[in-house]
Amino acid sequence: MKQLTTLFVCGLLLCLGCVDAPPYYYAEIVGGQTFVPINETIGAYPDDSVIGDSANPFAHATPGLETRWDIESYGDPVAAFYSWATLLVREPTGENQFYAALNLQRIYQVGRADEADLSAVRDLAIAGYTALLESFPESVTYDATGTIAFNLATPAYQGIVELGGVPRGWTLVVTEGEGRVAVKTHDVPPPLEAP
Amino acid sequence: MHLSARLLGCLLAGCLSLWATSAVAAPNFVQTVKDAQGWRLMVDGRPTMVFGMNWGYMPIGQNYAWVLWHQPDDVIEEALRGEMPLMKAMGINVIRQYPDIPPKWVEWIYENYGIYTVVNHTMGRYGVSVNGAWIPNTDYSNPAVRKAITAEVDAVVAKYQGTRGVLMYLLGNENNYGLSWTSFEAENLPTAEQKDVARAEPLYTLFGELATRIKKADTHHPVAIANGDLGYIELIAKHGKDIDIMASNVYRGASSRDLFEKVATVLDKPFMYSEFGSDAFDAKRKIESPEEQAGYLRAQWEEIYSHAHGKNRAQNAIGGLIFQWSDGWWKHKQVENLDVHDTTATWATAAYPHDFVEGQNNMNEEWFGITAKDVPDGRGIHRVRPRTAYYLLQEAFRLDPYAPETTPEVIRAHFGRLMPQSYAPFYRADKAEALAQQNAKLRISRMQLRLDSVFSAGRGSVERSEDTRFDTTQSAYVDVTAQPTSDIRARMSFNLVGNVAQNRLNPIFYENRGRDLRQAEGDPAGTDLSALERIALYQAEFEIDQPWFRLEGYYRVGHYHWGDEGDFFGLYQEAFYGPNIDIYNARSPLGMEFEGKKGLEGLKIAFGPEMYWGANPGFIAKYHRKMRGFEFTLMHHEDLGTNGDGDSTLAIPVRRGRRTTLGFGMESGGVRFDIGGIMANSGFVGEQFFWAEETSGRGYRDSGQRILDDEIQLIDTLGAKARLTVNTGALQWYLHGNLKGLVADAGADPRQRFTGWQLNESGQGNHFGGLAGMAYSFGTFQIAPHVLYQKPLIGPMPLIPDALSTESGIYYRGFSARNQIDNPFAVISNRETIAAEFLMVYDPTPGTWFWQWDNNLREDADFAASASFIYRHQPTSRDARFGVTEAGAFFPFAAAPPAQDLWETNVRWIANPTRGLRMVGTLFAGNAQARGDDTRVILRSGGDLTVLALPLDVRMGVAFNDWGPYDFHRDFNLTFPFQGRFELGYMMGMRELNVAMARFGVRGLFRTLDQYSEGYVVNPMDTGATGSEWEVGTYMHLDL
Repeated sequence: MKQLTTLFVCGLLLCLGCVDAPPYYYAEIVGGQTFVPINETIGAYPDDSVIGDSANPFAHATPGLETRWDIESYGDPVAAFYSWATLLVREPTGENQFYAALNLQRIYQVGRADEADLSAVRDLAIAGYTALLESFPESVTYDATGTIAFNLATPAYQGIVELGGVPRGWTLVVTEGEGRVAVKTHDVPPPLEAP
Repeated sequence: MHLSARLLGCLLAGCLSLWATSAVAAPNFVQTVKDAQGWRLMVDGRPTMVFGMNWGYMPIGQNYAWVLWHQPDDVIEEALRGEMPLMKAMGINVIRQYPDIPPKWVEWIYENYGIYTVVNHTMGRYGVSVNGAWIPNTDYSNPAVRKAITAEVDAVVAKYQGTRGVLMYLLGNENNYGLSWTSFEAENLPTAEQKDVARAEPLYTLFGELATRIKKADTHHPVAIANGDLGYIELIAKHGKDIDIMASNVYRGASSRDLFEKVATVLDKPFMYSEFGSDAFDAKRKIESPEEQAGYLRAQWEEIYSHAHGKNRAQNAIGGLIFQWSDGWWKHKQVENLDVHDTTATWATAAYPHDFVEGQNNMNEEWFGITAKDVPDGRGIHRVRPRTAYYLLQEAFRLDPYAPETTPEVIRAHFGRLMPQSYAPFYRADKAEALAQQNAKLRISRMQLRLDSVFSAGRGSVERSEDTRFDTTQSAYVDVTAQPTSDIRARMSFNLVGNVAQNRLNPIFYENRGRDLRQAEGDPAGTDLSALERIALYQAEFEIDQPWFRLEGYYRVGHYHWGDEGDFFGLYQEAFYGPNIDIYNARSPLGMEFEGKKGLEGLKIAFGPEMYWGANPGFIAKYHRKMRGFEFTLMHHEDLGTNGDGDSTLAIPVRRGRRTTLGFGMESGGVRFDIGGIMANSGFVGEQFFWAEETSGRGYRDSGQRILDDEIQLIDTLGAKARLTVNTGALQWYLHGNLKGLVADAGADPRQRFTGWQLNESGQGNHFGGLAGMAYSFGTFQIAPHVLYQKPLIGPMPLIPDALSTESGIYYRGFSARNQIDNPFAVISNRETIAAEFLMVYDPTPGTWFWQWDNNLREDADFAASASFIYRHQPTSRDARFGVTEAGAFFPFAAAPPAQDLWETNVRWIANPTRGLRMVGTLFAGNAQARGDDTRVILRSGGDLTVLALPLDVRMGVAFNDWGPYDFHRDFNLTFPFQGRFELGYMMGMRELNVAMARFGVRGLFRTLDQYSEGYVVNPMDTGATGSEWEVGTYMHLDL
């Protein structure tokens, strides 16, 4: 019994001794990264691999309602992509999907990835826009006042086209007042027959 | 003249004598007399053999709390008129009764049927009330206990000593077994090795003292003791000089062997069985066995005859009290399955070899009746069906044991002719008739029909229309019971709905289960339910009893916790949820319980998709052993998956986890010590978490807090706790302490602690703390202070918004309250608390314990009440809880209410001012916080009252500034300034105190609304406007 008690106390002390003092958390540096895609679907709903991406400075955070726009306007597309892609996993909305794809497009366009990865980044951006058209076709974003809504399907369509992709199942139609608007192909009204 | 005067004198004397006999009826004069031919019992000078019966009247569905003598006189008389003639016809001349039988009924039974009563005080066998405190385990060496028992016995003698029909006083009921048994249910008979003379001696000195006192007070009646067999006979010889009759509960099978001779040799007293007989269930073949029972009783009575006066053997047998008249359906478990004729054998003896198998129990406590019992009517009146033993003994008792011609040879010949098989057809025919009425294998065992109608409307700033709406609900429940064999039983209950009212003020109820579907389809008021919504499996349960195990399955049927069987950490939680199980259409509890027997005794395994509300699919295994005051328990709980939203009931989700616990318990006298350890959620090791600590500097983002980036380590999975409980009679106290690592989550210790305290430990990990409480009883009052302290090892996460520094490109992540899904731990019920509770109880009848779950129905005091006050000092906040929306979706709140001290007070009272009138009331008041993140502190109060004056049932309640009835009201802090309800019901055909075969009535609900209420509409023209809602309806409920 005495040996058992001694063993137990020693074990407990050993366990306590093994507990390292935890480090303090300070902050994440988010600017100046080069983007390295870890797979072919990161940033496209429903992929959630961005949470496990060691380069993601927001992996354990959820950018706040104002901070996410600060990050967007900060001018670093890599940081902005990780912010929106993280939000997309935590809050699957068309807005988060759109800005994740938009920032992938910017990374591609300004070359914030290695040359060898640029083609993959372009494909990721197309995949992101395509995910918006397929999963969040009715989604909108708002202007700075938060009152005027903009449909996101149209810029997503245009983004795919700009990147050299083909938006399947969607087309652009001209409407009065709104200009060109992306609609699903089966929603396009048939031309009026001549009387 | 002289002759005439003498004749006149004689006539006068005769008249006076007659008057004296009729007007001042003297008690019977009963004595034991020994002559050269042995002992006899003489009643008013006549030798009388005790053809006795342990008689009681307990309807199916009731337990010890139901007392015939508390029923109206017409019910008592009808019950007696049903049973006494049957007993008289059999030849029974004595019954045994506890001293709650009113003397007038003792006389009534005697005068109408010539049946005498043995008045039996159990002398603390099932506990004793000392100075108002109920002590379940009687310590006969305690002077206060002896004094209390002596006072009780004195009162009994004073009550009965002048009563005609009293035969004798009987003290105790196998109290020597109570020295070693651990419950009030029958257990294995103690062996010779289990003798404990030190504890027994005070018991037998008390027997002797009380016998002396009784004989001084009442010179007309002898005194007997009801011993357990011949245990401690040497102590009886030493201390029981004034005990007239040695009586024993004896279960030695067909023959008691040397019992009579031993009593003659050691005690030289007459002997009477206070209990003997046989059960009528064959535990080996799992069938009813009335012929075997009759065979044992025949042999036992032949032995009594042969040891009676003048029969040249021990010559000291004066009869016996057969155990028992009718089956006791309540005996196994005593508070559960009261309407189930349980076939579980609870103790073993080889003395009944026909169904004895080594290592298995063979005595079925619920089957000892020599009559079987039918279902009672609404007043509790039932019919009994005599078994084979009844008819056989009826014939046996025709032989006069004291007639000169009744020689040993005559006795042998007489009993030799009595073949059980000859009398079996009587019972078989009777039983066949009963079975024909109820198909025992598959039958509709219960049908309920509920027809409700309701008018409702709103007024003022409310969503509800001012136009009165009318709607109805029709709902039926059908129970189907199948019992193909005695060891397999299953019950299924189905619910069918017709129309379901859509205008109720409280729209979430069981029949409205299609409500979510309607809302999803955008038709909340529609009634077009699919067939799948109209019929539902309401409940299901089954039970399989095998030699090696017992298996019980349950679906929406409650089960008990295992706290009293060693589950110190509350892993297997109790699953009785009252009306919530219907309100939220819960699909739990759903699972099975396996209980090992024989070589597997001590092993229990529960498993299933949702064993209790919110449990993940998994299993809990327990191995528990108990040895002479020491016990240990090893348990393991493993989640095998998680309940998704679609699979689970409306329960807060929990992460998949595992727990292993080891507990030890030691008990001696009134002291118990428990200690245990836990290792839980080892799968969380390595998970990252953040926590905050105060700093004197600016801290993280000027919050005054430093943030630490940490991860779960092995030591965070460990925990330990200990509890010391001391019961010294009037004073009971306990100390409890625990230290649990961050993820060492389990449940709270579910055991009741002396009284009705509300404060309890948090079952969660991440805290240390303790509890201390003391319950002190004086007279019929009890005061019980109680304190709690707990503090999390790591406190809740403060709210710190995130930010980006555009100059430096540094992102400061934000922090907010943790929750139990996204983080390895969260501070919820383990929030820092210092709490004190003060409880006062007035309960003059501790036998019906004030805190028993069904005490509102069982309490038999004229008046009993409790009042409590609780104050909680909560200097810090907590982390986030999960909330549930009205539509049933779960989400974690973003924050939690701030630090806040809370108080509450509660009063509960029960009154039985007259027979047939019962009143139960509660009052409450206090401040409270929402479960969600709303910061408003409410001050709530209210009360309710139930008046039960059969056939009327009146219920009413009011609440001020209180939450609505549903969880989401409390989650979102939705309160109503006033809520009032009223119900007047008329009941017919009572099954229990509040369960009627038919009940109809009217009920109403009224509430006012303000800006904090659900259903309130803001009036932009008058922001302070209020509103109100009401509903009035009728109902008719049939329960057949």
